[in-house]
Amino acid sequence: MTHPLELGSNLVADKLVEKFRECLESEVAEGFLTLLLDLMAAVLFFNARYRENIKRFDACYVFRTADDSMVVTAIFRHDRLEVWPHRRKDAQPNIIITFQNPKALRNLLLAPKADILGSMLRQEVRLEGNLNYLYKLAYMARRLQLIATRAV
Amino acid sequence: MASVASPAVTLSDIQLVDYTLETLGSLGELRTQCLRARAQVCIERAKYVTEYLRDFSVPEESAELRRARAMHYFLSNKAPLFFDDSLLAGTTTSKPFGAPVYPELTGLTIWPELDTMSTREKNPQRISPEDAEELNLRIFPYWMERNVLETTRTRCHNPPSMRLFERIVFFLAGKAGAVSHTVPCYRLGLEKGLNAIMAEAAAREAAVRGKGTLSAEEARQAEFWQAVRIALQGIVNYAGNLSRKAAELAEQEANPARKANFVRMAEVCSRVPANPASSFREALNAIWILHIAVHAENINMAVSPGRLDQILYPYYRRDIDSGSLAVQEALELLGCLWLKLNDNTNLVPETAEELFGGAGTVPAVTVGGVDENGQDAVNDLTYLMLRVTELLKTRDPSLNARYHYQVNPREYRDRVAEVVANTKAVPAFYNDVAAIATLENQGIPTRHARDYSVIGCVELSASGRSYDSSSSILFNLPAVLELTLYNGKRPVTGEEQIGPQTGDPASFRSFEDFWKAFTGQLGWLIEQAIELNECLGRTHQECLPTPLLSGLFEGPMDAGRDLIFGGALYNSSGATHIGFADTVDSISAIEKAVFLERKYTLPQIIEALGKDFAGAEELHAYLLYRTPKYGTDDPVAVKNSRNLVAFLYETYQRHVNYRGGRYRPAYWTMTNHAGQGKLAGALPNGRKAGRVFASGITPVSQAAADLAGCLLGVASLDALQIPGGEAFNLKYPAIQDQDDLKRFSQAIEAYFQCGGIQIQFNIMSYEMLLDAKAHPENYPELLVRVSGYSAYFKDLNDAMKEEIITRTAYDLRTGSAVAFPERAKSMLPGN
Amino acid sequence: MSAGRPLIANIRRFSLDDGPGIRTTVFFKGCPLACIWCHNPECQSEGPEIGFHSELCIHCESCARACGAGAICPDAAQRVNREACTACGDCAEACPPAALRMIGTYYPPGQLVELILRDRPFFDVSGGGATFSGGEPAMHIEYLSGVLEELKRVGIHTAVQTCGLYDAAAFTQQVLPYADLIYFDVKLLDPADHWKYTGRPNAAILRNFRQLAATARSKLVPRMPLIPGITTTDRNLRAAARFLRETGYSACQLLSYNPGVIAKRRTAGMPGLEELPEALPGVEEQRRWRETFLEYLAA
Repeated sequence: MTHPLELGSNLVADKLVEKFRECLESEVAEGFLTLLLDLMAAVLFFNARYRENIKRFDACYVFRTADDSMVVTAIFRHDRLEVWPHRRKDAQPNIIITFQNPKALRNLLLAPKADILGSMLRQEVRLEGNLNYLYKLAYMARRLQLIATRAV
Repeated sequence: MASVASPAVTLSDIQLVDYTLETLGSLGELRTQCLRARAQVCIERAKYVTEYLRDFSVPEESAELRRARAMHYFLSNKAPLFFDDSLLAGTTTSKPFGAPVYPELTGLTIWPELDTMSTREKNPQRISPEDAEELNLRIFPYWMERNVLETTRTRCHNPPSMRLFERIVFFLAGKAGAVSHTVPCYRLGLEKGLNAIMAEAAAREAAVRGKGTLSAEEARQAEFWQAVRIALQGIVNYAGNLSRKAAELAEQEANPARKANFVRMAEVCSRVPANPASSFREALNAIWILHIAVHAENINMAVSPGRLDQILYPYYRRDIDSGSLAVQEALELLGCLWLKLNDNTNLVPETAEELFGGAGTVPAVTVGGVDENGQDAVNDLTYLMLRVTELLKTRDPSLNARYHYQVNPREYRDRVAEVVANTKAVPAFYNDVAAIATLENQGIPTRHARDYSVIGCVELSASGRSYDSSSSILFNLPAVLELTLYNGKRPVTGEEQIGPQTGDPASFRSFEDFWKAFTGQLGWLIEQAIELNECLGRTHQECLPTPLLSGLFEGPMDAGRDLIFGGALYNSSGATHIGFADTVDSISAIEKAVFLERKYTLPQIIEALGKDFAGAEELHAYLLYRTPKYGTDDPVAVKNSRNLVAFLYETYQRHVNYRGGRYRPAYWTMTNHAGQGKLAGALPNGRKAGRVFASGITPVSQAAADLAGCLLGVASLDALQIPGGEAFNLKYPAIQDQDDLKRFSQAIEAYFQCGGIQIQFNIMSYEMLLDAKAHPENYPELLVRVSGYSAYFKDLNDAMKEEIITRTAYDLRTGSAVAFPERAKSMLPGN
Repeated sequence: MSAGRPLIANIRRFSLDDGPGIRTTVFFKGCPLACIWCHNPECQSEGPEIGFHSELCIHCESCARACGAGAICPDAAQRVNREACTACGDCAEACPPAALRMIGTYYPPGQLVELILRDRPFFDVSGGGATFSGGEPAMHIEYLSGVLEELKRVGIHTAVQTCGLYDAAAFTQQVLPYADLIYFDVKLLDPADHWKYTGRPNAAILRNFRQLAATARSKLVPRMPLIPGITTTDRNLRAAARFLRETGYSACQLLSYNPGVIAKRRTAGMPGLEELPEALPGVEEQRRWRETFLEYLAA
């Protein structure tokens, strides 16, 4: 029985895990969102256990910077994650997450010592829509964090 | 004061010194287990309720019935568990010390943490991987669109008031997480028994249905009575399961004492709460099972058992007089109930822990005071309960002593004072004269006002008759101050225009101009908070009726209407305020500095605030030390504190809630004054950025230099305008001898005679608390009074610890504030 | 008796050590004696003076800028040069954290009564009342009398703490009728010692005590401060005990010594510090003095 955190051997996934872990440890968390979603998509593809999280789960997340210089749409449907580098007209977002910088987004989703208070003070993240979708996504992101930090 | 000894007090020693933990059976051991218990997340309730609604319920059925059936399903399947040698049967959750999940409310906020909350640094709550998976895959998904907050968002189209709430720093809407905050009428369950209540419900239902064609209202009534019956049956089933399980365990048990206990519990649970209680033990266990049952349906926040010394007294008296109960056993049983009330805690996500950590479920028990006829109601049980509290010193229940200075005996007052001195934190004192008057002023008939209880934290309620939702709004007053100073904006929310434009402060010519702008912002923000509360209230009506609790309340059965639809005899919504003292002092500082002495301009002050007083040391010192402070008799301070209370009272009382009751302002803060303080900038009273606010209605730390002025200053507020209740926290470093104790009591007496509503204490020195912060391992059981309830000091976050440390300590012998230790001065809000 | 207006140094509320119950104590400025151990040195001079709370000072030097008499030394621990100071109060007015404060306020009698009556709720629940101390309240007998009379009229219990050096006739006529308790200090019986340590003879004091003991015994409560090495000598204890026995007293309140007085007196620029012991007398020692004294009293 596959351990829930094992990915099986897959070079692409391994590389993503490596990069993700580096991002977690870095100060500025450059490229956090892309790394997170790419890794998530990969793990969803390879790991049946992890994929159960999105069985019959249809959702649309929009991530954007305040000036819209970066917009990412993440759509969960048909047991898959699709990531688009722009807003999708055909999908109504369940939640829109506006963030100032990648570090703010990382602090929002991951643990431990998430500087939530600091985030709020600096108004680093704005949320519009159904918060439960954020909670679910954060759960899945933390799962990935566990994978990345336990993988040898 | 009573000169005739009440016949209800027959104890030869009201202090009950002969009874200690050593002599009270296994109470000592149970207490140790209780204090050592570590929190575990319990998903049992969430699992069954979700299962029922998701897999078995009929969507066409009304929410009232579906809810009742879900409760029935859960309670009938709830595991009958026995974890220890308690004399009482029943557990709130499936864990010895459980944090139950209420996915309908804010349960989903722990979703991100399912894998990490077991090992997080602050107050971890352990969850097994299996349970985490159950929540993640099978329970939470069902509620994503269905919990109260999201349902409201959809129904009300994500109103601006909701978005304001989600900024956290303006007000909190309690109903997103709970209504609860009430005192059920357990007496009904004890006197009638659930079978009789169900029969009554059935009869009423049949009578209405027998009419043939029903109006919409009558159809709802019929459904309501049907729902009550279904829900209460679930409780009976649970008790039955407890009985069977206890009998089973008795069979298997070798130890004779334990076996006998199981046998007793099996007997008790076979009789109550289905039937009327016929003994003290049955009455206690019935209350406990009913309390558990209420939590099947209502989140464990401040569901308060009420006047237990009154409710249990007939059973106690009969059993004592007949010889079937001894004081010893009564104390053991009460101790078991007290410890049972500690068997659950709130599910707390990380952010809440950081901002508002350490709070418990606050089930408040009320003793003493007067009866419906205004007579002395203090009885033997009052003293037994005081003794139990004195011995156990646990966080819960929160004990509240009502004291009527014209009727209750002095020795009662002094005994309560003694318990406070011994436990250093509990109970809190309530002024019957003021509390009854303020409830009467709300339209509650005198006899019911006299029967009031406290809802944890400190709210006043016509017990078992009034549905008060006392935690509907938690309002951040300093936010309004900032909105006034920044013309509708706040530093923490940046450039965004939040409130109305009430004018550039530089243009204010007089204090009246300032006050007008301030009350403009205040009135506006209150409207927002009320609007959201009404939206959330209607969601509760649509989705979360409470047939089970309604069956245990005075009013709904007669009206045929659920509590949530206003079925209680009386209704209200409570709005409490954070940062009262800091706000009042800031207003007074502005009045003096800008308009009376014309020493500084508002723009100057605002600029200094923006820099956290850097480079403006003289201005800072002036604001901190030379402006009027609430908690003294400075006429400006007195005027502004009274005016603010009056404005809030008049504004809130103009509003009637969705259940037909008025809004009642209150002044208690849990730990919000620490969290909100952390998020607020510097204020005109000299408080620096990020520092905690004063708690409840207490004056700002170190601002009220003498005890007499402090007591009289707080008492000078009009109790009739504080119908929601208040928390006034006072600290004395020590009560060393009988003389100190006498003065301690007398100070309370004077304060009450001047109209103060409530007062509670920490009898601790600055040094001791500083040491406890530095070396928590040396103070594992240190209990402190926070703001309407108690917490273990070690569980509080750093900001809260500092807030408690910095609270002004008064030397009882000199009436002056004790000097704050030099080495820790940086903790003070003005430094 | 004094010619100037009576100034009040302080009003201490919720006081437990100045008589029965919870009391409000009014401290007058000005005293005919100059006891070297005086615990209220700021009350010794009749006129107003400036007090300094160094822990509040923010070193802004507003005081130096405000002072027209050149009496401020910004770097000195003793901020105010008392020789040069005219007690105009400008520095206190200018001081942002109120580290410098004017000590000595005049209250019209009615206003003083009002201030005291704020605390009536505490008096009523505890059998407390108002106490007049200082300094020496009997330096302003007419003023004191007016205040006492009004307080008695509204049913407040009154107490006066006196050093005993006052105009006997005026005191008897104007203060005694309105004082429920008189706390009368007995310090040093030997005239030379008394002169040395208080700056005044004790003949009139002892005479006034005798007179009160004869005419108002129930109101008179003798008190003795236990100042190590000064009043606690065996000789003085014996003499004091004999005096009290002779005047019919078998009890006396004994007041403990607080070495904190040294710092207080130093700040106020007071003399005689070298005579005062720096250490708190041991529990044993204190007990011995009390026992000895009571022994002599009972003998």
